[in-house]
Amino acid sequence: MEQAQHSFPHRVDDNTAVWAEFKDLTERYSCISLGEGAPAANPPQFLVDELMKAIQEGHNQYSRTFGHPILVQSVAEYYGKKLGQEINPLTQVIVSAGAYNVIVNALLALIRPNEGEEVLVFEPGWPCYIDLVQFAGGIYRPLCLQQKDGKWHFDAEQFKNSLNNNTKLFIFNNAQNPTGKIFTREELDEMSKILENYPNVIVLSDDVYEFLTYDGTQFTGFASIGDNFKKTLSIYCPGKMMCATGWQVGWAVGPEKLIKPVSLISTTQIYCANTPVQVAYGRALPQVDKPGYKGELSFVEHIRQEFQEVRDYMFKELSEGFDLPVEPLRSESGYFILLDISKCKELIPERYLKSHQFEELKEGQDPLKVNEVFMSDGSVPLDLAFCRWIAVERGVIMMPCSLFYHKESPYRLDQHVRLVICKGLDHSIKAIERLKSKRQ
Amino acid sequence: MELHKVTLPHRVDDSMAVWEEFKEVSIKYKCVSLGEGAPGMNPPQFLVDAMIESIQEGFNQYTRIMGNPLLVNKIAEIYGKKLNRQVNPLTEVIVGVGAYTLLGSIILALIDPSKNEEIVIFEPCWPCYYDHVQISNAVYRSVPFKLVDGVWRFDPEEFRKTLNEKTKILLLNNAQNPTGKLFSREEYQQISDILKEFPNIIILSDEVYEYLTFDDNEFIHFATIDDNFNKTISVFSGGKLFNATGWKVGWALGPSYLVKAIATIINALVYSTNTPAQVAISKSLDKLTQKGYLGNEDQTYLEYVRSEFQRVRDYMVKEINENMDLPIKALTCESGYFIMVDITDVIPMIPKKYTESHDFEDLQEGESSCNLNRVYMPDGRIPNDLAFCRWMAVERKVMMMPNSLFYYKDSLYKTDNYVRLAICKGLDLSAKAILRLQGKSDQ
Repeated sequence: MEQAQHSFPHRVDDNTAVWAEFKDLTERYSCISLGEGAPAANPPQFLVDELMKAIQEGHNQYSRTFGHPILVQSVAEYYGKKLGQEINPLTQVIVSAGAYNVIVNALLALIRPNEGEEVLVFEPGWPCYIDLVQFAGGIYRPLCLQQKDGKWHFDAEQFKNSLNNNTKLFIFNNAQNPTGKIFTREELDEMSKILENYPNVIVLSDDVYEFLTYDGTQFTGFASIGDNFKKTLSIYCPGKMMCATGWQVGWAVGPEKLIKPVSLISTTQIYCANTPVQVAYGRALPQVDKPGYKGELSFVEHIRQEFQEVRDYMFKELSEGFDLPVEPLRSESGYFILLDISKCKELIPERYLKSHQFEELKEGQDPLKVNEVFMSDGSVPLDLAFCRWIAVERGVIMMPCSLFYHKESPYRLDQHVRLVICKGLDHSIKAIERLKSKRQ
Repeated sequence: MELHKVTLPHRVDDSMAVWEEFKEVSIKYKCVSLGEGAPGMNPPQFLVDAMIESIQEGFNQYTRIMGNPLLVNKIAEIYGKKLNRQVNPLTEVIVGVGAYTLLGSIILALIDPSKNEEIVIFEPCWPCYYDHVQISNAVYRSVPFKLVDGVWRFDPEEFRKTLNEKTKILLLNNAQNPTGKLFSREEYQQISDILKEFPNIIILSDEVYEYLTFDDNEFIHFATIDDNFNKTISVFSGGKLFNATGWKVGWALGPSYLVKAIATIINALVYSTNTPAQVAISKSLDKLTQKGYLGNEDQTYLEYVRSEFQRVRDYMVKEINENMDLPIKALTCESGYFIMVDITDVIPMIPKKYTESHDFEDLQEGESSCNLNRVYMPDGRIPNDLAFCRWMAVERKVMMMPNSLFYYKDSLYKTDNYVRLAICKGLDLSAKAILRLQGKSDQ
């Protein structure tokens, strides 16, 4: 039968290719990965026990579309405390199929497609925001985070000047990916004040790493400041908090006026989230801050300590006794650290810098499908060249930070690479040793 | 500070309201519910055990977006056999957060929102299709089923007339909700032949109840007729198959050009689907058809499920047709979770307060009414099936679904003389519901 010519809509760019290159490199060159933001640790036994209990108790069928009553009650209490806010579990909480899905549902619910509504996002930032804003029919407008003396700063003037009457949403990722920046109280106050001039701007506070702060740094939720709760959706990710990113349940809290439209979209997209997992999270949430999980430490304190240990180890190993002149930047939170690799340019072999065809192919070997992106001056991004070089010749995968900017962003830099600190000390030691051994 | 004036998009009607009434009324009047399509059974122990095992084995982080390799390999093997072909697990299979999410994603992937593309659906049908159609900006076109000698049939001429060059998708739900209809080979051949005149139409085959056939009836996959695999995407539900509708894992099979388009949407919408549940299902699919379930040498798990549901179906049909004071007539069904009951003869008996107004409740001082579903038939009357359901809920404390809700709101074919009852709730609950329906005490 003839295949008809089908035309399908272009609702979103297919960016799976971007990450596919790194998967393929990992396989072909037998790399250890410091790329993907998924933890090596397993979820705590108390969470696993709660899931099995939920299944045995019969929580296996469809449940309340906005979120299981046991879970939303728990979420309202737990995050109500964090935000200093009385949260109504039935009208101010939405549970969807992972924090990712909550974000998509929020964007679809709030952005009127193709009406020129703008969404402000700090860069470098999680690249998926770009796709999701496109999917919802919004216009992505980057804001610049700048690095100086190892700290990332936001530019208040730029923030002020980027706001206009078309601004619909400000996606605010605090405990930021990839920089690890935790915005200070002063910065949050300044942002809040600036936003007062644009009272129709909704804030999507992506707080998925809010639990993972280091050096005793305090995380303040944007929604907890002044009256911000009334215009903010705060997104949380139990998968990250409890090392179960594959369990795919996440939630947001906010005012009913925002939660209701998001809930309607969520219902239309997924109907309801996984029932036994919701019940398990609902019962596990009160346990994460209880002392005594490991010695005196609560589960969350234990996770922080583990990740901080890896962060400090990697920072030290990459600052001292490393043949490459990389400069690790301090990370205050989250799953990642950044390295400034600008001083490595002269050391990178020409073929990685010159073109995207960097492989020395063996007999009969096809080249990998690679990510053909360029800086605005036509060059191959330095960080991408660096990552490919390290993958092929040292067998370690890292992520080029230039991928954490919109392709046409005026702020795009190519001098940083992102490494994960979520893989546990053993894996991280192996990776560092590989990096330092200059495998042939 | 308040959000002053924020305009939000209208991507989909708030149809939550529709189902809210039934939930609220059910609770308020302490009904036994034969409404929702969720089974009374729990998932089999072998699936639960596989879940524990998967978690302990460490399958707890993000997995491959199109589906965990263990699961897609098993699906390709088992469903490849059903579809009579070699299915490539990596390019011809896609996993989603339940069949529900897949259905929506498929429609989003295929429908161009700027072209007024049409989706053709047989009615009465699952109401949620309409939400998926609406959010993708497609145009909904329906073709009616009519009962002919006890069999739900469609008119091929009526079907053909509904198709045109704007038709993008034909949505076929076999083991149909709510009628339980199984399409015969002849009907499918008829459809396949008519579609040859419209080569641009892609078939979305909703096969979530394909395992739940009764009386040894055959389930036919449209993708096995002629060359239709090349233009059909077939959707299956792990939740229904394993009596675990809350676990939310579904899958679809089709040619790679369709699966690829769907994968882009799944990637944007949900990223990946619950990992340990996918792995647990991959370990459990073979066990569905192994003899020896619950120690019974002659029975597989699926045979057990079918026999249990069939038992309830037969019990309910008999009791309604032979032991009921009200002149309602239950139809048997060939498959699925539901039976339809013809209420034509009881319509004159429905108390006026239910047929004349939506405000049917006898409210006490200060008592607020339930959130009500203020819908009307084209001639302005309150749907008789809705009135009947409210009457039965309030006075006999049994909740059922009015069939008029299984047509989209502007459908030309809407009827209001059937109600839909669930047969998936197990014999105990069903017996309780029947006793109440018969006006007896259920103690």
